[in-house]
Amino acid sequence: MGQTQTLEKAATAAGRLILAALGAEHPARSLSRLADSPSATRLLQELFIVAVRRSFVGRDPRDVTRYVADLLEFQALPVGGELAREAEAVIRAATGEPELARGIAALRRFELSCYVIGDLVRSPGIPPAELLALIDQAERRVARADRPANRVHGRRTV
Amino acid sequence: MTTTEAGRYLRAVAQAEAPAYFGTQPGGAPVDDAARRVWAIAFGLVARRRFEADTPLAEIGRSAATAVHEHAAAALPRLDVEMLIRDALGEPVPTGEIDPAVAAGVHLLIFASIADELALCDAELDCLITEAEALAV
Repeated sequence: MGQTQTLEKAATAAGRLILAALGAEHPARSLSRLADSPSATRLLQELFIVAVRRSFVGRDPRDVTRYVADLLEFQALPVGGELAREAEAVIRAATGEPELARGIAALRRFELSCYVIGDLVRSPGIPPAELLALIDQAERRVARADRPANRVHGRRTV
Repeated sequence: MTTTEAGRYLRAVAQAEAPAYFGTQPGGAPVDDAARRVWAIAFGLVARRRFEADTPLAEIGRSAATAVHEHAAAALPRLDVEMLIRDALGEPVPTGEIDPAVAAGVHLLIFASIADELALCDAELDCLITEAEALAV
Protein backbone atom coordinates (compact mmCIF):
# COMPACT_ATOMS: atom_id res chain seq x y z
CA MET A 1 0.00 0.00 0.00
CA GLY A 2 2.92 2.29 0.74
CA GLN A 3 4.24 1.51 -2.68
CA THR A 4 1.44 3.18 -4.64
CA GLN A 5 1.67 6.26 -2.48
CA THR A 6 5.41 6.38 -2.93
CA LEU A 7 5.12 5.95 -6.67
CA GLU A 8 2.97 9.02 -6.97
CA LYS A 9 5.41 11.15 -5.07
CA ALA A 10 8.48 11.28 -7.28
CA ALA A 11 8.41 14.37 -9.45
CA THR A 12 9.90 12.93 -12.63
CA ALA A 13 9.28 9.83 -14.71
CA ALA A 14 12.86 8.77 -14.02
CA GLY A 15 12.24 9.10 -10.30
CA ARG A 16 9.15 6.89 -10.58
CA LEU A 17 11.11 4.27 -12.55
CA ILE A 18 13.74 4.17 -9.82
CA LEU A 19 11.16 3.90 -7.07
CA ALA A 20 9.47 1.04 -8.90
CA ALA A 21 12.83 -0.75 -9.27
CA LEU A 22 13.55 -0.26 -5.59
CA GLY A 23 10.20 -1.86 -4.79
CA ALA A 24 11.02 -4.96 -6.83
CA GLU A 25 12.23 -8.25 -5.44
CA HIS A 26 15.85 -7.73 -6.51
CA PRO A 27 16.33 -3.93 -6.33
CA ALA A 28 19.93 -3.84 -7.57
CA ARG A 29 19.15 -6.04 -10.57
CA SER A 30 16.01 -4.05 -11.39
CA LEU A 31 17.95 -0.81 -11.18
CA SER A 32 20.61 -2.11 -13.54
CA ARG A 33 17.87 -2.84 -16.11
CA LEU A 34 17.28 0.91 -16.31
CA ALA A 35 20.61 1.18 -18.14
CA ASP A 36 18.87 1.93 -21.42
CA SER A 37 17.00 4.94 -20.02
CA PRO A 38 19.25 8.01 -20.21
CA SER A 39 17.16 10.02 -17.77
CA ALA A 40 17.03 7.19 -15.25
CA THR A 41 20.79 6.57 -15.40
CA ARG A 42 21.39 10.29 -15.03
CA LEU A 43 19.18 10.39 -11.96
CA LEU A 44 20.77 7.22 -10.57
CA GLN A 45 24.13 8.88 -10.84
CA GLU A 46 23.00 11.83 -8.74
CA LEU A 47 21.09 9.59 -6.35
CA PHE A 48 24.28 7.64 -5.80
CA ILE A 49 26.19 10.81 -4.97
CA VAL A 50 23.51 12.10 -2.61
CA ALA A 51 23.07 8.76 -0.83
CA VAL A 52 26.80 8.14 -0.45
CA ARG A 53 27.53 11.64 0.81
CA ARG A 54 24.70 11.49 3.33
CA SER A 55 26.02 8.17 4.60
CA PHE A 56 29.77 8.59 4.59
CA VAL A 57 30.89 12.22 4.62
CA GLY A 58 32.29 13.04 8.04
CA ARG A 59 32.70 9.41 9.01
CA ASP A 60 35.87 7.34 9.21
CA PRO A 61 36.66 6.32 5.59
CA ARG A 62 37.43 2.83 6.95
CA ASP A 63 33.65 2.50 7.32
CA VAL A 64 33.52 2.43 3.52
CA THR A 65 35.74 -0.67 3.47
CA ARG A 66 33.52 -2.40 6.04
CA TYR A 67 30.35 -1.35 4.23
CA VAL A 68 31.64 -2.67 0.89
CA ALA A 69 32.55 -6.03 2.43
CA ASP A 70 29.05 -6.29 3.91
CA LEU A 71 27.37 -5.22 0.65
CA LEU A 72 29.26 -7.67 -1.54
CA GLU A 73 28.77 -10.49 0.91
CA PHE A 74 25.01 -9.86 0.90
CA GLN A 75 25.05 -9.97 -2.91
CA ALA A 76 27.08 -13.21 -2.80
CA LEU A 77 29.94 -11.53 -4.66
CA PRO A 78 33.67 -11.97 -3.94
CA VAL A 79 34.64 -9.63 -1.08
CA GLY A 80 38.43 -9.78 -1.12
CA GLY A 81 39.41 -8.73 -4.61
CA GLU A 82 39.26 -6.20 -7.37
CA LEU A 83 35.48 -5.72 -7.26
CA ALA A 84 35.73 -4.66 -3.61
CA ARG A 85 38.48 -2.16 -4.42
CA GLU A 86 36.46 -0.78 -7.31
CA ALA A 87 33.39 -0.41 -5.10
CA GLU A 88 35.43 1.43 -2.48
CA ALA A 89 36.91 3.60 -5.23
CA VAL A 90 33.54 4.70 -6.66
CA ILE A 91 32.16 5.44 -3.20
CA ARG A 92 35.18 7.45 -2.12
CA ALA A 93 35.21 9.18 -5.50
CA ALA A 94 31.76 10.53 -4.63
CA THR A 95 32.93 11.74 -1.22
CA GLY A 96 35.84 13.81 -2.45
CA GLU A 97 38.56 11.59 -3.91
CA PRO A 98 37.54 11.55 -7.59
CA GLU A 99 40.98 10.41 -8.76
CA LEU A 100 40.41 6.97 -7.19
CA ALA A 101 37.76 5.98 -9.71
CA ARG A 102 39.69 7.03 -12.80
CA GLY A 103 40.16 4.05 -15.03
CA ILE A 104 37.04 2.24 -13.89
CA ALA A 105 34.77 1.58 -16.85
CA ALA A 106 31.48 3.50 -16.92
CA LEU A 107 29.46 0.30 -17.04
CA ARG A 108 31.19 -1.05 -13.95
CA ARG A 109 30.57 2.22 -12.12
CA PHE A 110 26.92 2.03 -13.08
CA GLU A 111 26.60 -1.55 -11.84
CA LEU A 112 28.31 -0.71 -8.57
CA SER A 113 26.09 2.30 -8.00
CA CYS A 114 23.05 0.05 -8.61
CA TYR A 115 24.25 -2.26 -5.84
CA VAL A 116 24.76 0.64 -3.45
CA ILE A 117 21.41 2.29 -4.20
CA GLY A 118 19.60 -1.05 -4.12
CA ASP A 119 21.14 -1.57 -0.70
CA LEU A 120 19.23 1.45 0.62
CA VAL A 121 16.07 -0.63 0.78
CA ARG A 122 17.69 -3.78 2.14
CA SER A 123 15.81 -4.81 5.25
CA PRO A 124 15.18 -2.94 7.49
CA GLY A 125 15.81 -0.24 4.86
CA ILE A 126 15.57 3.49 5.16
CA PRO A 127 12.17 5.04 5.95
CA PRO A 128 10.13 5.79 2.79
CA ALA A 129 10.08 9.49 3.57
CA GLU A 130 13.86 9.57 3.68
CA LEU A 131 14.12 7.68 0.40
CA LEU A 132 11.77 10.17 -1.23
CA ALA A 133 13.83 13.04 0.16
CA LEU A 134 16.97 11.51 -1.39
CA ILE A 135 15.29 11.10 -4.76
CA ASP A 136 13.89 14.60 -4.56
CA GLN A 137 17.32 16.00 -3.87
CA ALA A 138 18.81 13.96 -6.72
CA GLU A 139 16.10 15.24 -9.07
CA ARG A 140 16.92 18.80 -8.07
CA ARG A 141 20.60 18.19 -8.68
CA VAL A 142 19.84 16.84 -12.15
CA ALA A 143 17.63 19.83 -12.91
CA ARG A 144 20.23 22.27 -11.63
CA ALA A 145 23.18 20.69 -13.42
CA ASP A 146 21.30 20.36 -16.69
CA ARG A 147 20.20 23.99 -16.89
CA PRO A 148 21.82 25.25 -20.10
CA ALA A 149 24.01 27.75 -18.23
CA ASN A 150 25.42 25.03 -16.00
CA ARG A 151 25.98 22.38 -18.60
CA VAL A 152 29.51 21.11 -18.37
CA HIS A 153 30.92 19.01 -21.14
CA GLY A 154 31.70 15.53 -19.92
CA ARG A 155 29.64 15.98 -16.77
CA ARG A 156 28.12 12.53 -17.13
CA THR A 157 31.33 10.80 -16.18
CA VAL A 158 31.66 12.79 -12.90
CA MET B 1 75.12 -6.19 5.20
CA THR B 2 72.58 -7.37 2.70
CA THR B 3 73.25 -10.86 1.43
CA THR B 4 70.83 -11.51 -1.39
CA GLU B 5 70.57 -10.11 -4.88
CA ALA B 6 66.98 -9.09 -4.13
CA GLY B 7 68.11 -7.19 -1.04
CA ARG B 8 70.85 -5.38 -2.92
CA TYR B 9 68.40 -4.51 -5.66
CA LEU B 10 65.92 -3.15 -3.11
CA ARG B 11 68.61 -0.97 -1.59
CA ALA B 12 69.53 0.32 -5.03
CA VAL B 13 65.88 1.21 -5.65
CA ALA B 14 65.68 3.03 -2.31
CA GLN B 15 68.81 4.99 -3.18
CA ALA B 16 67.47 5.74 -6.66
CA GLU B 17 70.38 3.85 -8.19
CA ALA B 18 68.46 0.90 -9.58
CA PRO B 19 69.79 -0.07 -13.00
CA ALA B 20 66.26 -0.94 -14.12
CA TYR B 21 62.88 0.11 -12.89
CA PHE B 22 60.00 -1.94 -11.72
CA GLY B 23 61.22 -5.29 -10.57
CA THR B 24 63.71 -6.37 -13.15
CA GLN B 25 66.90 -7.48 -11.50
CA PRO B 26 70.31 -6.55 -12.90
CA GLY B 27 71.69 -8.96 -15.45
CA GLY B 28 68.19 -10.00 -16.37
CA ALA B 29 68.00 -12.43 -13.44
CA PRO B 30 64.44 -13.72 -13.20
CA VAL B 31 62.33 -12.25 -10.41
CA ASP B 32 61.55 -15.33 -8.38
CA ASP B 33 59.28 -15.88 -5.42
CA ALA B 34 62.19 -15.57 -2.99
CA ALA B 35 62.95 -12.08 -4.28
CA ARG B 36 59.29 -11.08 -4.16
CA ARG B 37 59.11 -12.33 -0.57
CA VAL B 38 62.07 -10.21 0.50
CA TRP B 39 60.52 -7.14 -1.09
CA ALA B 40 57.08 -7.81 0.40
CA ILE B 41 58.51 -8.28 3.89
CA ALA B 42 60.72 -5.19 3.65
CA PHE B 43 57.67 -3.23 2.47
CA GLY B 44 55.72 -4.42 5.52
CA LEU B 45 58.55 -3.47 7.85
CA VAL B 46 58.90 0.04 6.50
CA ALA B 47 55.12 0.55 6.34
CA ARG B 48 54.78 -0.39 10.01
CA ARG B 49 57.66 1.88 10.91
CA ARG B 50 55.96 4.78 9.16
CA PHE B 51 52.33 4.18 10.22
CA GLU B 52 50.42 2.93 13.25
CA ALA B 53 47.54 0.48 12.82
CA ASP B 54 45.05 3.28 13.56
CA THR B 55 46.71 5.98 11.46
CA PRO B 56 43.98 8.09 9.80
CA LEU B 57 43.29 6.96 6.28
CA ALA B 58 43.86 10.49 5.02
CA GLU B 59 47.50 10.32 6.16
CA ILE B 60 48.06 6.94 4.51
CA GLY B 61 46.29 8.17 1.40
CA ARG B 62 48.51 11.23 1.27
CA SER B 63 51.68 9.15 1.44
CA ALA B 64 50.28 6.81 -1.19
CA ALA B 65 49.46 9.74 -3.46
CA THR B 66 52.94 11.22 -3.00
CA ALA B 67 54.59 7.89 -3.77
CA VAL B 68 52.44 7.30 -6.82
CA HIS B 69 53.26 10.79 -8.03
CA GLU B 70 57.01 10.33 -7.43
CA HIS B 71 56.99 7.17 -9.48
CA ALA B 72 54.48 8.34 -12.05
CA ALA B 73 56.24 6.41 -14.81
CA ALA B 74 55.33 3.14 -13.11
CA ALA B 75 51.62 4.10 -13.14
CA LEU B 76 50.88 2.42 -9.82
CA PRO B 77 47.16 2.38 -8.96
CA ARG B 78 46.71 4.59 -5.89
CA LEU B 79 44.02 2.53 -4.22
CA ASP B 80 46.04 -0.68 -4.62
CA VAL B 81 48.97 1.07 -2.96
CA GLU B 82 46.76 2.20 -0.10
CA MET B 83 45.25 -1.27 0.30
CA LEU B 84 48.67 -2.95 0.40
CA ILE B 85 49.83 -0.48 3.06
CA ARG B 86 46.69 -1.07 5.14
CA ASP B 87 47.13 -4.82 4.66
CA ALA B 88 50.69 -4.51 5.98
CA LEU B 89 49.29 -2.71 9.03
CA GLY B 90 47.07 -5.72 9.71
CA GLU B 91 43.75 -4.33 8.54
CA PRO B 92 41.37 -6.72 6.74
CA VAL B 93 41.19 -5.14 3.28
CA PRO B 94 40.58 -6.51 -0.22
CA THR B 95 44.00 -7.22 -1.75
CA GLY B 96 43.06 -10.15 -3.99
CA GLU B 97 43.61 -10.14 -7.75
CA ILE B 98 46.45 -7.62 -7.67
CA ASP B 99 48.76 -8.48 -10.54
CA PRO B 100 52.08 -9.85 -9.17
CA ALA B 101 54.00 -7.34 -11.29
CA VAL B 102 51.98 -4.48 -9.80
CA ALA B 103 52.44 -5.87 -6.29
CA ALA B 104 56.20 -6.15 -6.79
CA GLY B 105 56.28 -2.61 -8.18
CA VAL B 106 54.37 -1.33 -5.16
CA HIS B 107 56.61 -3.19 -2.74
CA LEU B 108 59.78 -1.82 -4.32
CA LEU B 109 58.80 1.73 -5.14
CA ILE B 110 56.65 2.44 -2.11
CA PHE B 111 59.42 1.03 0.06
CA ALA B 112 61.73 3.55 -1.56
CA SER B 113 59.23 6.36 -1.14
CA ILE B 114 58.50 5.65 2.53
CA ALA B 115 62.21 5.20 3.28
CA ASP B 116 62.71 8.63 1.77
CA GLU B 117 59.78 10.03 3.75
CA LEU B 118 61.39 8.70 6.94
CA ALA B 119 64.79 10.00 5.81
CA LEU B 120 66.40 6.67 6.69
CA CYS B 121 70.17 6.75 6.59
CA ASP B 122 72.15 4.05 4.77
CA ALA B 123 72.81 2.08 7.93
CA GLU B 124 69.12 2.04 8.88
CA LEU B 125 68.22 1.02 5.34
CA ASP B 126 70.72 -1.84 5.43
CA CYS B 127 69.44 -2.90 8.81
CA LEU B 128 65.84 -2.98 7.57
CA ILE B 129 66.69 -4.92 4.42
CA THR B 130 68.86 -7.42 6.32
CA GLU B 131 65.98 -7.98 8.70
CA ALA B 132 63.66 -8.61 5.76
CA GLU B 133 66.13 -11.07 4.26
CA ALA B 134 66.39 -12.92 7.55
CA LEU B 135 62.59 -13.09 7.85
CA ALA B 136 62.21 -14.27 4.26
CA VAL B 137 64.18 -17.51 4.61
